[in-house]
Order: sequence, then C-alpha cells, then structure tokens
Amino acid sequence: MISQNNDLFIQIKDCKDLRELYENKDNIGNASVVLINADNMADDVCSEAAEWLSDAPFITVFAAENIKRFSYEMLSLFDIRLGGEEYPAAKAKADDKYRLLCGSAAYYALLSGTSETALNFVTVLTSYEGFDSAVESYIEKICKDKTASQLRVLISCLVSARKCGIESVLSAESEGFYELMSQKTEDKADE
Amino acid sequence: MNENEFIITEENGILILTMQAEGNNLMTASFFEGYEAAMAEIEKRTAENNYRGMIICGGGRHFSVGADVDSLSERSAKEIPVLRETGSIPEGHFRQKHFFTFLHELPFPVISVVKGFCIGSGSEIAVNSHFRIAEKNARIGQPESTFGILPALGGIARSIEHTGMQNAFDIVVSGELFSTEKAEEMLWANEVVGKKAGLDRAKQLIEFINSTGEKFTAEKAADFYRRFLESEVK
Repeated sequence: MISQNNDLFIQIKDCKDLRELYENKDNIGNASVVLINADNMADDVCSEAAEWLSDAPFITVFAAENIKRFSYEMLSLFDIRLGGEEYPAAKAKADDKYRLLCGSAAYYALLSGTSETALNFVTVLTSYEGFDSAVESYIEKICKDKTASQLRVLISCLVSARKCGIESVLSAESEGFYELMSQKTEDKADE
Repeated sequence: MNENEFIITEENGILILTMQAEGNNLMTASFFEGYEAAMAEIEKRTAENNYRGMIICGGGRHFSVGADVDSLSERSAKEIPVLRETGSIPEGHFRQKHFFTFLHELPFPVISVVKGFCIGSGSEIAVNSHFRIAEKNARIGQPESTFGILPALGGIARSIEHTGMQNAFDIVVSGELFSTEKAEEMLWANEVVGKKAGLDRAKQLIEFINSTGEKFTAEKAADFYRRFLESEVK
C-alpha cells in the first residue's frame, strides 16, 4: 500500500482491501481528507474498518473508475465517492445513510423509484488525461487556497453530520466560524 | 435602515417577503438590522395566524450578493476580544442565526425564489428555506471558505440536508460559485425556471402542498416536491 502525503490530504494507492486500510490507519496521521484510489481494491466489507470509518475525524474519499462493481455497503462507508460512471439505483438502498450522503431529494427519489441512477451518490469525473488525473484535479480544486488549520475546521463540521447527525452541524459551524475568525484576527495582528 | 427595504405582504394566506436593500441586498450591518426586524415580525405573525406558505425573494435583479466583508471585519473586531475574555460565542450570533434557521422550523412551506446572485449569507436564507426555485442564469454559492471563514448561519447543515455530504463537501470547502444547471443537478435547487417565473411557480407549489391536506414538515419537504412534479405528469 502506498501513501502520499501533503499538508492537506493523504492519498492511498494500491490498497488491496479494507482490512489492509484499517491495519495501516496509524499512518494517516492528522490528515483532514483521506483519498483512497480504489481501482484495485476488493469489494469486501470488514467490520472493524467499517466502525473505524464511521467514527473517523477526517473526510474519506473513495475513487474508482469502475465504481459500479462495488456494493452499496462498501461504498456507503465513505463520505464521498468519485467514479467514472453513475451508480445504478437498483444497487443502492434508501436508508438513513443514503439520505445523509446524498440529500433528502435524492433519498425520496430512490425510495419512490423515480430515477434509474442513485442521485448524488457518485460524482462522475471525466478527463482526457484519465480518471486518476481527474480525481487529483477535483481534490486540488476543493482544497486550493486553504490552510491546514482552516481545512481542519471546515472538515470537522462535515464530520459532525456523520458522527452526530445533521442538527449537530448547526453548533459545529458556529464554533468553527468563531475559531476561524479568531485565527484571522491573530493573523492580521501579526502582519 | 430604510423601512422599504424589507416588504412583507400577504396574498391568499401566503406571506411574501421581498428584500430590496441597498447594493443588491449586500449584507451590511444595516441589512441585518432590517432583516432581523422583518423576520421578528414574520415570527410574530406566524405565531398568531395560520399561513399556507411563505415566499422569500429579491426585489431587484439579485436575491442577495452576500456579506459585506468590511462589515464582517468590523463586527469581528468587536466580538473576538469578548470571545477571548469569556470563552463564549457572542449572544448576537445566536440571535442572528435564529432568524435564519427558524425558517426551517415553520409549519408551512417556505420557498426562496432565487435570481441573479445568491451568495454567502444570501444562500443561507435559501438553504434554510424548505424549497429553492432558481430562475435561469442565477449564480449561487457559499464562498466563505475563500475568505478564510465558513458559513455559520445554517449554510453547512442545510447544504448537507439538501445535497448530501457528497456535494456539501464541494459547495462549502471549495467555495466556488455554481450555475443553476449545477444547482439542479446537485438537487440544491428543486427546480430551475425561466426569468420572472419563480414567484408564480412557488405559489403553485404552495397550492399543491395545501391541497393534499397533509401536515407539512421540513422532514417531508423533498417528498412533497416529488409528488408535486408527479401530479403535473398525471
């Protein structure tokens, strides 16, 4: 398994399955975003890894060009899914997890069977330079211009939704706002 | 504050708030003063009367261009020393936040009709509403992160609720503005309509919801909308 780090995120390549990812969890350090290039990964859910991911203090991004080959149970362990294709509605489940990951309109569309694809479940990326390049561009676009400390605060709000439910984000965002405002004021004073 | 900046009207049991403050609803201290007074009035009226729905719209070309960065800096210059001294978030923040988030708790459908720019705290008014009808060519977004801060008036919580973690990550962390097409694709907007068609469409949606005779809740808002579209196909 190969890990590549920068200040903002860690990228994991050639991980053979979730167990290997779990066994290497201590190498993740303080990253805010963990990107897993999963094209060579087995579609096999490991309960220890599932528990660890549901409680993770970082955002997990699962990227696989052929994402349809993975089960809903596997993919829904991750916060964000990037693929080269849409995910069929028939493979997804209209459960609370789906509602959190994809939003309420997508949830009701799946529940009522009005869409053939699982709306908002996968962000489809295409690029002339290939899927891996599109994934890197996507992450760079999102993280650009952010400091590690700002990204940590932003991510903690999103993580709060996964760990404690959407209503908990209301207080997390207020706390985060004043933490960042305070940092800005300090930075200004230092100038 | 000019009292003509926030106009509250009633039409067949529907409350309509038209925001037409200076600078395309630029969220200055004066804007917030007017906005909070208007929302306090709406809160009072809804406690005393039964309404069928509420529509929020911009009176000019834009819904709102968002926060005035200078105003925000001035406010934080006053608040941060107090925050450091007491360790508590200023009470004023919670008061302000209440006048955004209470929209979500209202027992009737609240619809934001979005046109032109709908940015920052303007976008937070829209996401705290149960529905968003966007007029063509609107530009939407939560660019707070590009200024080193984050949306704290329900913008993150409600972006997750409507578009899921999948898209909220992009909207909130990248801070990039997006088009109405993208808003519809992410299900941020329930629907995109032509210019000047948003208000009538919002009224149609309110009529449909009331015609069901069912109790309206925020939890079921997306399902009401899905059934509204289905009812038109039949």
